[in-house]
Amino acid sequence: MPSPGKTLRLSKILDPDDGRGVVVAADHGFMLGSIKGVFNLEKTLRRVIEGGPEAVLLSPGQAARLGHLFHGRKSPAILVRADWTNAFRTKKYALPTRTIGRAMAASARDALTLGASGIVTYYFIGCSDEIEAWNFKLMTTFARECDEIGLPFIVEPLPFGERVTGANHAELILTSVRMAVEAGADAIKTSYTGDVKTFRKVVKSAGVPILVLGGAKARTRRDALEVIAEALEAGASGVVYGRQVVQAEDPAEFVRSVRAVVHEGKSVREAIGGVYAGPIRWQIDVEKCTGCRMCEVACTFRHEQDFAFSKARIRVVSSSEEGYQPIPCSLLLNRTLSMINSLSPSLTFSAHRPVCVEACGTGALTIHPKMGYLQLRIERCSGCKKCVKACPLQVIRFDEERKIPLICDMCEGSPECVEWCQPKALVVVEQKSKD
Amino acid sequence: MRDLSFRPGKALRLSEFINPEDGKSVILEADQGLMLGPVTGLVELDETVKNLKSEVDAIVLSPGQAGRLIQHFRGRKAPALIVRADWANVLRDETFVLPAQKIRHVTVVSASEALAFGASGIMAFFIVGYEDDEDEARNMNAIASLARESDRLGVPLLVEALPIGARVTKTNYTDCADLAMRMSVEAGADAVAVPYTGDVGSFRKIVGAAKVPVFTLDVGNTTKGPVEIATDALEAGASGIITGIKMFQTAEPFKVLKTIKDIVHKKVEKSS
Repeated sequence: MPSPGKTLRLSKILDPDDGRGVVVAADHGFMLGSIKGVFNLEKTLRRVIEGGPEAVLLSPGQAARLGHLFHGRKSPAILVRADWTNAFRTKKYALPTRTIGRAMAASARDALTLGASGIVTYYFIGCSDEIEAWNFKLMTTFARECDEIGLPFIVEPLPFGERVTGANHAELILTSVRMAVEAGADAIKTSYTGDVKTFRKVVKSAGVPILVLGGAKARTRRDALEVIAEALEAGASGVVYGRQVVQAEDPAEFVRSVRAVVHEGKSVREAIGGVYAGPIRWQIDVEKCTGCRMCEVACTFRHEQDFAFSKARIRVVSSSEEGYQPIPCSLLLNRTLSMINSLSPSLTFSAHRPVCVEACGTGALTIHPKMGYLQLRIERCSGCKKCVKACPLQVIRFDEERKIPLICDMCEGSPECVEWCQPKALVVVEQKSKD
Repeated sequence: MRDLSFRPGKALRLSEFINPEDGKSVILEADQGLMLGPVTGLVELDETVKNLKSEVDAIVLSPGQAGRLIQHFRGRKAPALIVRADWANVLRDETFVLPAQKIRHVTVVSASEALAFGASGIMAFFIVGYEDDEDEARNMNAIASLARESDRLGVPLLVEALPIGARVTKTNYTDCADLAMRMSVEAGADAVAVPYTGDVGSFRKIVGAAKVPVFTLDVGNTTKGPVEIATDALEAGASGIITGIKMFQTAEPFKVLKTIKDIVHKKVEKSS
């Protein structure tokens, strides 16, 4: 029979109704000092708790100091970070790491005494053999203690050190996750491998619930929520969010949108606020994008009869590490309004408008009443740049000479950017007929 | 309330069965099988727990049943689990197959073992009125050591302070209950359960002296039923009720429990 204490406590981290959970990590101060978001931890935590995560990860000191915020059965469970490391102090920090150090910060019993529903520890793989052996020993010591006292043991296997490369990263995750399970982990906290196929293999080989790090960098740049959606598709049980939540402008809102994806099975677009029902719907395949920027060139030639990247109504984000992605105008809706809309489905099409149109104070920027794409009445435009600032995708550029925003009209239904995209990274999947 | 600020785990677990919003609680005592075998309402314990768990803040179970029925306590909507840490034969009256000839009391589970079951608290008897004074001392020794251990581990200790035996009479009942309650608190109880003393005035005196949350039991120096006892005790300032055997003896236990819940958590006033 599995330990009743572990069964009960794990059910506070993963909701038994759907087997899923949202965990917020707020233990950064322990490794990095008073970084943004955890400077006033109590204030941040109050907002995080309002969003309703299943559990919050805290250092032992803060779990003791701020445990009172977690009172009542409805409150999130506390997870205690039981170990410490200096490994994350990169050159950005005051005292960068010279040699990797680890320390035990609390025993499992200490954590249980604080009222924790589980402990989390690292398992580093990819450093020297000596360090790995020491890491393994520490992990099993915690595992045996947790078995004795009925406390869930969550391991965070971390490919880390000189022997980790881009090529062996996914395999190191697969290996280290399984080793942690064999050592006695009841659940795993790990980063996403980068694609559904390899991550499904990790989930299957683990056999215990897997919480994916929502904020971790995947190989290509993706929206953080899309990483979760993929990981869940691959069989993950939930997500751990750290900095992206505690450093968010509104942590409560962020947690709620993560919950919408994890628990309510909402699509990423629904969770972040939805998209205006424009004339076309894009599909972007980041794996295919080569970063050739032909879409930008095609756009400027069509609208300006000129080849000038600064005047493109689409942009390609690029980085040598993370690859490329075209970002076209997606007519993003204001979140609150789209929520109202979802409550009363009769209020569709014209009842609310994309954020840029909402932001425009002069009535210059409107939606074409029939076709649904953006249109600008130049005579009304004051050049205030409100739409430029409002666009969450930063895809509206400003023409400093003419003092007008450069908005995407989707080429009135047949976009040039799609036409010219050779690798088919940007395609139109849905199109409204013109009548 | 004891100052639990330096015992964050204890404060946290106490909040799992005393609702932090109103400071009140309804606790189902379903551990009598440990002392009396299969009693009315608890024969099919699995069913009972399943059917009643939505109405209560916590359920008291014996260690054996806590392990067996743990599935019912999963998730955030479930009540908290309280584990019965001791055994006594006090409840065996003349109607029982083996009436108690001498009152005995033993500890069956430590606080750390209860914690391994996932318990949010432990419950133990402190009985006054023993024929043999040695037995009272032994009982005090047992709850005091549970109290010390529960302090170390951050598990709330709920003591059921029970005046019982030939030396307890209708006239000295309140004083005996007060004595049992106060000694339990001094020993280190985080909350006490006291049988109803019979009237609001005498119970208020007990609540006032305790300084920790006081629950009434659904029995006591009275012929009143569980609903009336809950009403009176709440008026006297109690933090709630621990109900079990008496509630199961009523015609419609589920309805009675629902009424009690509404009284304790003040839903009655809102609807009227």
